[in-house]
Amino acid sequence: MTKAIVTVGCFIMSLLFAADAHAQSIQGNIKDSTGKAVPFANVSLKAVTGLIISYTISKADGGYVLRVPADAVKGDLSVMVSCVGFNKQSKAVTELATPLNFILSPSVSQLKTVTVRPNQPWLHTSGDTLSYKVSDFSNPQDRVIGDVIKKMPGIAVAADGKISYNGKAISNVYIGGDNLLDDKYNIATNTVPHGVVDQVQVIENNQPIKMLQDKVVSDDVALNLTIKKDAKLQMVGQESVGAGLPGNYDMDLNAMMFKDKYKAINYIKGNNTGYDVQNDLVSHNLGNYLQRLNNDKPATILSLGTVNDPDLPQNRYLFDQSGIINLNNLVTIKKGEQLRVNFSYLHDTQRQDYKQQTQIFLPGDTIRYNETQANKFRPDILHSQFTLNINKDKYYLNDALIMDYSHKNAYSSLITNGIPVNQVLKDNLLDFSNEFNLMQPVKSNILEVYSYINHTNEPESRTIGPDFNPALFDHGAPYSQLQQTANVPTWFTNDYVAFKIPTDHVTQTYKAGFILQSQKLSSSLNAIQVDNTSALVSDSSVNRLNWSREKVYAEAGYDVPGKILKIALSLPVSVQQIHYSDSFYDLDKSLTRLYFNPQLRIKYQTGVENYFSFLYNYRNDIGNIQDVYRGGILRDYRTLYANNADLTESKDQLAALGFNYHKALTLFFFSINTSYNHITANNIASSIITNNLQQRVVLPFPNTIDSWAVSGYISKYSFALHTTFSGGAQWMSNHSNQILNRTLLPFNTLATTLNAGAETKVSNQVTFSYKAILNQTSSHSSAANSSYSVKQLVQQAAVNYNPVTDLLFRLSGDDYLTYRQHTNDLKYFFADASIKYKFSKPKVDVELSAVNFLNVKNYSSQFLSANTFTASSYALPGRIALLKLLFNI
Amino acid sequence: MKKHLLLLAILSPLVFSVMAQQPDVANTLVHYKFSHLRDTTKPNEPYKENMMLMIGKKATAYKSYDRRLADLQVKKQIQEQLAANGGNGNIRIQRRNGGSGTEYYMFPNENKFVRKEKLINNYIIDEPYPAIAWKITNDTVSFAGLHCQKATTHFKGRDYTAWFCPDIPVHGGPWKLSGLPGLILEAYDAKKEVVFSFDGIEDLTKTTTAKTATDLQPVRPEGMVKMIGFDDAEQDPRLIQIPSDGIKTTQKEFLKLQEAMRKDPDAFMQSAMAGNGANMNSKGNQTHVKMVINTPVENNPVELPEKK
Repeated sequence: MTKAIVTVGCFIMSLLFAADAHAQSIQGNIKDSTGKAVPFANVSLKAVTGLIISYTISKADGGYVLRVPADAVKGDLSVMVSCVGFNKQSKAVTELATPLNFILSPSVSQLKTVTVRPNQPWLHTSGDTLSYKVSDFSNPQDRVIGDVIKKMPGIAVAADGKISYNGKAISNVYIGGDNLLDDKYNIATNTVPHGVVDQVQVIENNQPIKMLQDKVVSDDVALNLTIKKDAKLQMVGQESVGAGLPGNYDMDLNAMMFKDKYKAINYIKGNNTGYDVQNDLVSHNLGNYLQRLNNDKPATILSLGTVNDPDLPQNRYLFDQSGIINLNNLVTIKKGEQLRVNFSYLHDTQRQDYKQQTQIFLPGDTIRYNETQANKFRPDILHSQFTLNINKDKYYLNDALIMDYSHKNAYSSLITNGIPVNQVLKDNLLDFSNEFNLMQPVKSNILEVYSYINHTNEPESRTIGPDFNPALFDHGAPYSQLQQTANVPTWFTNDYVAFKIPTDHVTQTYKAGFILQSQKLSSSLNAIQVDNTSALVSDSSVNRLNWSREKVYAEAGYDVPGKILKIALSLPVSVQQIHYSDSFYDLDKSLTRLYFNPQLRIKYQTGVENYFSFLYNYRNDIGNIQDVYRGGILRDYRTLYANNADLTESKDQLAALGFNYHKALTLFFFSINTSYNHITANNIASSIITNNLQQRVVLPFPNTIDSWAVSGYISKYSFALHTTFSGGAQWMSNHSNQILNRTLLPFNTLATTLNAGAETKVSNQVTFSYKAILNQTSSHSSAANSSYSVKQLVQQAAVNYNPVTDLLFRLSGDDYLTYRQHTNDLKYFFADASIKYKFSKPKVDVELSAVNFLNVKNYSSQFLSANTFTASSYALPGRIALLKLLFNI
Repeated sequence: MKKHLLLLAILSPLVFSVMAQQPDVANTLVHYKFSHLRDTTKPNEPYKENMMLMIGKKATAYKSYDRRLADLQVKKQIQEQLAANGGNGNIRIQRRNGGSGTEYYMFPNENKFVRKEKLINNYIIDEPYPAIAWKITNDTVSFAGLHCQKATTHFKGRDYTAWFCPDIPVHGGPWKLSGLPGLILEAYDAKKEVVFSFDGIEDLTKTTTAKTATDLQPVRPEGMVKMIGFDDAEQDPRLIQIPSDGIKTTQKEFLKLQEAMRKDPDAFMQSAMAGNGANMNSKGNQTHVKMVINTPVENNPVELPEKK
């Protein structure tokens, strides 16, 4: 009996131990097809991501015991067995306790043949960072890092330099981990030589503020350029000086530093070859920045009303004489303490020559108009920014002092049917702002203080004359000039105090603050007589409008910065009061509104390399000062504009869902995003034209706008073809109501964009690139016959050939096809060629290039509607031959 | 003279064939670029060498690829000159930097790890089979289209990062780094002073037509000059075999030999070649030049003592 008890006890004990062992390991044995044990086989435990999380080697009897790590997600595991001479085999783990036995089949080839080609790209992933090795994607014709970035699979670069990674626009380009340029990263991509960059890293969920890392969710994607060791030691510069025919020049002198403690990109550039240096100063995330500040800066009011630019890339039509000095310097005083100065000054003279013929067919008569425009734009743009940034684990301070000044003169000489109209527009903008942000720990919590102040002043004035439409503007009498002035000086401030309480899984934020905006819109339209006296054109051509907006807000925010699930929820409540008055028009109105503008962002990681994202946003919008002025402003020579309505209030709901997938090992990327936007407004704004005055009126129809958008992006590097293939599709549908002929009509606009591209390295001597973009826009109303449709196909191709290392040829072309209803098709083809020789002593490259060598000198388009035919034509720069010297310092 | 006798006494009883393992045939050759910062006072001048890992069915061998190329070059020069002067006259040999003579043989199925050192003769040293406790991480990378996963460890005084390829089910890797469920394609220590970087894979199954290992046994034609100092220049380059003329020794004894060579290279050469059946009579040679061996500064060996 005792024996039996002992036996049973032992049995129970052994069961318990066995159960314990099974909870942490998987057992089994491995045999070949003849039943013989297979020793020394690899036995790997794989997670759902396909990554090995534990491994062992089978024993002499073919048995194995595989440890299961404690943090492994059960249910998605599989065991893979591989051994030289056998085909590998995988089995899903259903129950840890069940033995997993394998019978391997012999493989014919013992090891798979791997032919290695030199310079095959590799990507390295580590957590949220994905690294591209620059040398894998560069070729001898590349000059700057931007040339290489656009060839990397998963990364797309738009015409204006905007970079997106797997369909999402990036927030910043860091240089060696430092923020030198904010979102003006074109400066870096257009200047930094690719040879100094070791890797381009994509950082997802980038939270630049150290104190908030792992506490506050960020879905920003940033790029970082890691600098090679030897390039950190001394100054780097890539200089080019060129001269050409007819009378062209092009130079780019730069000096850069990439030391750990000092980073700088300084340069002087100038050209008259159609490359607009203003492109370097584009702020790619300006919209996000202004939305974050909640600052609704007044827009420029006056313009020359000149024609639009031709539907071509800018470098094909721009006549410029531009120069820029751009200085960007960042000094790290101590670890985590940085001082930065960004300064730029730009001067340009742009010209535009345009001709248009219009024929209007009336019963029994045809009216002909001839219009020529010679326009000149002369901007001087000065920007300076001082930034102090202290970014430490326990302290954060950022202060950015920004001053912008621009002085823009524009001239237009317009001849309509032989009558000259000369316009001079002066626009001087002064914009000053300071943004202060401090975060300090209070016990285990974080106290944040934020203050932003901004002042803008933009006096604008435009003169037209002599004798422009005297019937309307000077009671029919001849006069010297018509002068319109306008200015909206604005003070704005946004201040808040926030308290963040981080706990294990959630960070709570409570915020309270206020916004003040004070504006005054003053404008007058005067007729200046021959004797230099001036008088108001009419008693309604003046504005003295005061505007104030006060907002008090409180916000609760919740961040869940999990590894799998990230949630950011913000729940702001605000009380807003707007008051505007203009005693001249007996206007004195105020309104008070309580708004709740919640936002929810969710990111769910379905795997290491793929995730779903969701966004919901509800926002209340209200119009601004430019929707309420009552006096007429001659915005351009054709449009005298005034408002006769109250503010439009709208509610904007946005929901977006996206899926993002990449597989770094195979260099495969794809993403799909959908969004739905529903806007309801309390009224519908329309313009009515009465006695040459265009007036904004509001009609009490509730208006809704619904738009749907779907976009997809795919990119893959083919190892076999040494080619990066990429493609994208966008589809957008927009339903809105428009007032047409005094009736409300539902309108539907459809826009589709398809693009495809390939970047290939045919051999070490030859590289080839091709890109095609197809745009299609159509709009129609269900209640009217009129519809409109445009199709445009843009194709770009380039081939590089370097028969020997010192000699490089390049041939490229771009082709533009436009199909429009009721007009003839437009076909334009431009071709460029260049030849470059690298001298070794002295180390200078000489490049001879012919831009637009087919000498296309004119862009013209025709438009035919029911009773109107217009033919317009623009002068283009034509062929430019340029000889450039390129050298490094 | 006394020293010579001592050396002979050490060497002669150890001369016997080491034939414990059946020769294996490599079907794959993996190339690595090896970089080692031997002298930390010159951080920009690491020692560089092209290495290769021969992978067979049951064994792997890790040796210098530069040395193999240099040996082939010398062999070619000798054969050309022998053919030119009919076996008479002087042979001039130009040998470029030959690479290291150290080789590592690994027999995972027998848990056996052998190092071969070259000091005129081949010395065979049994080493403990490297049992490395790797920590596998989630980082991945692709080298030339081969998917790799990252593993880290502390081994022989350094913190190593290794990238292994689960698609190649070989436990080996460069040097002593091994034991992962896939071939190690790249490895480096935290300071990047010791770097093994992947430089390609060659499939050897298609290069020659020999079928079995026995077909590849070295065949030495009668009357052929025995060339001392060449390892596998005469045998099939695919053969994985511990040199049959290897002298089995221990690490301690080998260090003694190295020290003896450093102190008196002449005497060492004499005794070593005597042990190998060759003779070099320095007394009868009027143009004898005193041998000087320039050992480069090495203050940073690959294997560092563990800090306690």
